[in-house]
Amino acid sequence: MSARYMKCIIQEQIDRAKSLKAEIPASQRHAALEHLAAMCRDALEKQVRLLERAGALLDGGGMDGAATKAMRVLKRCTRVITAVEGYGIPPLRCQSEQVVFLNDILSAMHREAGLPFPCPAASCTSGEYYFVHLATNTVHAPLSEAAFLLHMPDFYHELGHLLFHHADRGAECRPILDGMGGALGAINGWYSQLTDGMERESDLLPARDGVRWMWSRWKSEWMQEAFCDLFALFAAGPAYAYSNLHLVSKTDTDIYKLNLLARRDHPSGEARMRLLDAGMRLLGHDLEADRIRAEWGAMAQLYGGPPPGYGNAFPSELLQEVAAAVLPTFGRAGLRGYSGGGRERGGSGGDTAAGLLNEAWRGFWRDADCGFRDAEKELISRLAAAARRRCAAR
Amino acid sequence: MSGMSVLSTKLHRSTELLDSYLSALESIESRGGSVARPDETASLLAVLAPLNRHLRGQTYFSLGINGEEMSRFLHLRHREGWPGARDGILSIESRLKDDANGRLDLSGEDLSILGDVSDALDNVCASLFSEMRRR
Repeated sequence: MSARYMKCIIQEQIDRAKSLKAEIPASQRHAALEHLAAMCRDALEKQVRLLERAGALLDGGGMDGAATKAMRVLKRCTRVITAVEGYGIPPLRCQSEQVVFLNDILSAMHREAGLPFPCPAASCTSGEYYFVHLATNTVHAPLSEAAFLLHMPDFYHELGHLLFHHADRGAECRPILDGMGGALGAINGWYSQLTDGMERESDLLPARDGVRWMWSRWKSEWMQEAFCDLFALFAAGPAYAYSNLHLVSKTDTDIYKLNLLARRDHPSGEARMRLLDAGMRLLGHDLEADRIRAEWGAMAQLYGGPPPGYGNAFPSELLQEVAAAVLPTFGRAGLRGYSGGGRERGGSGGDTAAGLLNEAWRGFWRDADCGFRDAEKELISRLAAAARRRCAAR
Repeated sequence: MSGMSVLSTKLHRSTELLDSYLSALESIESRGGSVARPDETASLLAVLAPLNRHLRGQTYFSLGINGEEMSRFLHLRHREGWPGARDGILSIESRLKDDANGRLDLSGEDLSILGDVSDALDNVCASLFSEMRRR
């Protein structure tokens, strides 16, 4: 690649960043969107500065060490610009009533739980269920989520991903980090013992690589997802477990999914239900756990049995140890969890997000086949009013 | 359910570490290889340590850095010279740890290896980014 061509690409990316900056509306309809707009502007301006500097490195005209450095900068800047374009700008360009409502709800959840990081902005532009995008601090939900309540507890799971990311960044999160260390100790203990046993039995050696794969998944993706499930259960209470039951029932084609070829994936739907069952009992939600166990048990019978080796991936003892190591640390870190009822968090004394979501689920179990939808719409109005009052009171 | 959030977390963490690493490397290069500040040492070690744990065959808990993928990239780049490059990476980490207060002179060869390590981490970021775009 010639220096002239590289300079042209750099200029193209500078123009793209400037063009995207111009797409950001001058005013936003929610404080979280204001923060997002400021962050997007700052990020784009920074990329322009970095790219201009990279372009200047090439002014000598040769393709030497300077060109290597310019290329590195170009690639990193292109990724940032693409991320801002894909995840930061769309929520700003689509500030419907529904998006404002979702931002009110997400802000209320964030504030009620006392989370020690900036509140993310919500977007309803996701084609991938709920997910969080760290670099833009945005949580993306599907388009119709603002019109329904039963899956809204999944916002807490995404807040869990942000908490996981921030856990090593402040003294207040030290107990959480210690809890993760305890869970990791349980994981390492379990798999060390398992692999040691396999070393001694030559017949089991072929299975050892599969067990090592499970161990490595637990130390990264599975641990993170388990952490987020447990945080969501802590903050949203049974509503989160119900929401997960609902999601797995509707979408999982294989509740025992254990794909040894997948590099990054969630624990299986079945394992997550057992983790939530263990967590609910630790939190004292035994009645709700029994209800879920009954519904889940009936549904699980519709699937075949687990694949060979499944018991080594998600043993119940390990799931219980992980839940016991992580769950108590949220309270120790000063976070506020759901403790039953609709007015459990004190403060303004009004309806809370977690309280109303649990009320919605109680209504669903009571009236699912007669009039729940009308009750859900009324609860959405109450949730919107309560969240808006809180935002106005800040 | 798609794993987007985990990918996003890993990408963000890796990108933060890469930015900090490159900033430290640039400062060190501008002084002809002299490591002058503890924060520079910390930024380099934050990347070298997980990579080297993999090179030594140790298991570890990683929020962001994937030592295995970095190692694969470096192996491909150095091909038959890989054992020497591997020893070089391990040696730089060891010297940085010995001089944790920051007063170490790195050679041109060291700086070249550290540049390769940054490319390896950049490659991990690009791979995570592509995976997110595919979903």
